[in-house]
Amino acid sequence: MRTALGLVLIAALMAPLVPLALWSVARGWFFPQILPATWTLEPWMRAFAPRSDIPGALLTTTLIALAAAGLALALGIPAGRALGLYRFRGKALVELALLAPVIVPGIAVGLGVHGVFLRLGLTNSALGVVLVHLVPTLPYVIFVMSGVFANYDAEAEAQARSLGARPLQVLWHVMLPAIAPGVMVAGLFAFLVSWSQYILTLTIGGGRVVTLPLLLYAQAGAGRNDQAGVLAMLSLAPGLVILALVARQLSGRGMTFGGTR
Amino acid sequence: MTRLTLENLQLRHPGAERPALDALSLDVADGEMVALLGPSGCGKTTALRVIAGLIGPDAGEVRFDGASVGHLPPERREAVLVFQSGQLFAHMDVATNVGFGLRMQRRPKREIAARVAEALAQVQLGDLGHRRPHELSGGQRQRVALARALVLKPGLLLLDEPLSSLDAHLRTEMRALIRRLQRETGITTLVVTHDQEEAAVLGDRVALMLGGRIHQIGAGAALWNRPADLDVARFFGGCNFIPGRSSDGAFDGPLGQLTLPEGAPEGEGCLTLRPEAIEPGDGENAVTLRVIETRFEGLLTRITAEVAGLRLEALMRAGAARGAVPGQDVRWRLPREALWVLPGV
Repeated sequence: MRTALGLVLIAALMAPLVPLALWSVARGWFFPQILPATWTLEPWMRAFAPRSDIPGALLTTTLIALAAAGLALALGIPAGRALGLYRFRGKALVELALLAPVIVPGIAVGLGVHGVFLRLGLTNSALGVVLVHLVPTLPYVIFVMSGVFANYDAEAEAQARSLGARPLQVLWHVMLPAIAPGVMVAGLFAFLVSWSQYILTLTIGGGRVVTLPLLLYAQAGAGRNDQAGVLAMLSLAPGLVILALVARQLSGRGMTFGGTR
Repeated sequence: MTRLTLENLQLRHPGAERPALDALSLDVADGEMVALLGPSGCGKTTALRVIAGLIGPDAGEVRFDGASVGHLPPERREAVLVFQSGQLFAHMDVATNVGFGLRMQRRPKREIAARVAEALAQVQLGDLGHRRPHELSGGQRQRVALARALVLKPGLLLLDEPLSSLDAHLRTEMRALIRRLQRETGITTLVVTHDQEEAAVLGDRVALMLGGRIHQIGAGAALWNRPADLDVARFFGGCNFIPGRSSDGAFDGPLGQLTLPEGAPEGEGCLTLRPEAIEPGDGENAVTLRVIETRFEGLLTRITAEVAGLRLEALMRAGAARGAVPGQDVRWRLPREALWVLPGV
C-alpha cells in the first residue's frame, strides 16, 4: 500500500518532466502524436556545439551556486549556532527577520536590492549575483543549522578544551565532525536554491550574468522546445544527484536534522 | 604533581540571586585526593570549572604549585576535568577518544598508540579500543573518559560526579578503580560528589561545600561526628540538637548533666549526636524518655522519643528497637564519644 502510494506520488512529480525529456530528443513532434515521430540527439549536439552559450552558462551557474552555498554556510553556521545554542534578548525577532526573505516575493527583494547594489557598483556582476543569492539561501542554512545546534552538546567543546585542544582545534576536531551531516544537507540545499534562481539573477545580473535558468526562460519563451528540453534536463541534473546523495539523510529514521549524536 | 590552592574565589552567574562561589578557599596537597561534597546547586561543579579554566571567577585566585593560573586558558592548564557525562566524542572510536589530548599536542603516532594502549589497560578496557562510544555500557564509557584524562598524565585531575550515572554495583567497582588509580599514579585529585559515602571512601579528606563555600574540611569521620556548625550536622543527617551550655567537659541542658568527650567546644551552644549513635540501656549519660513514634526504615528503625519537651531521634537495628513501644518509657544511653557541641547556636 505504501509502495503503491509512493509510486503514484513519484509518477505525479515526474510526469511533467516527461515531455521536456522527450522534447530534448525529438525531431518534429506534433499533436496528436503521443510520441515523437523521429528521434535525434541533435538538440544536445547543438547545445554543446562550439558557439553555444550553454556550456558557459553551466559553468557560471555552477560557480555562482558553489560560491553562494559556501558563503551561506560561512555566515549561516555561526548564526545557526547562536540561534540553536543560546537564549538572548530579541531572539524571536531575529528569527522572524530571517524568515522575511522567504515571505517577501523575490521580485520585490530583487528590485530593492538592485537600488542598493547600483550604488555599490555590484550590479551586472557575478559577485553581485552571488551576494543576492544569499537572500534565499541563507535562511535555509540558518534554519537547518539552528536545528542541528539545538541538539548539539556544547559541553563537548569544554571537555575538549580541558583535554588540551585550542579553540581552532575544537572547531575542527569536535564541532565540525559533530555537525557535518547537517552542514552537508544545508550546503546542498543552498546550492540547489541558488542553482534555480531566476528573478534575482536577472534583476541584479542585468542579463550580463547568464545562468541556466535565464537561458531556459529565454528558450521556452521563444518556443524553442528542443533547447528548452535540453536546458530543463541540465537544470534537473544536480537536483537528482543531490537527492541520491542525501536520500538516506532524508528518508525516515535519518530525517532528524539534528541527528548528529 | 600539582598542589592546588583556591583563595577567596567569588563568582555570581549572570542573573543569579546568590553567588555560586562565595569566598571559596581550599588547599589540596600534592598527590592528595580530596572529595568536594555538597548538595546539588552548592557550587561544587562551578568550582571545578573555575579550576579547569572554563569559567573565570569574579574575584579570587586559583594557584597551581603556588603560581596563579588565572591568565591561562583551559588547554594550557595542568588540570584535566572529566565531565559528569563522560563526554566521549561520538564520531571517534575508543582509542581515538583516549588519544585525543595527545593528538592535540601533536605527539608522534607511535607514542600516542603506546600511551593509549597503556591507559586503556589501566582502566581494564585493553581490548575495546575499536568500539564506538554508543556500543559501550555506562560504566565502560566512564572508564574511557577516565583513561582519556589519565593518558595526559595531568598534574591535577578534576572528576565531576564520576559515579552518578552508574548502577549501584558498578559504582562500588568504579570507586575502587578510581581509588587505586589515584594511589598508583599519585595524581592530585579533586572529586566532586553529592554522596556522603562516596566522599568518605574516595577522599583522603572530605570538604563539605554549602552555599558556595567550604564549611568544614577533614577526615570523613570528623565531619560526621564532629560537625563544625549546624548546617554541616544537618547535611549529614543530624537531627538531635539540644540547647544548653558546655563547660569543664560537661554539658548542662534539659537532659541534665552529660559528660562530653575531650576537646568539645565550650560555652553556650547546641549539643548534637547522630541518631544511630544512641544505644538502649543504662550507664554514663543515660536518660529516660517517652517513646512517641517508631518508623521502620529498612535496615534501621527510627524511634522518636521525648523528655522535658525535647525530642530525640534514634536509629536502631530491629533487635535494639524492639523495646521501644509508643507511649512507654525507654532508657537510652548517649555515648560520650558520640556527643559534640556546636558553639553559639
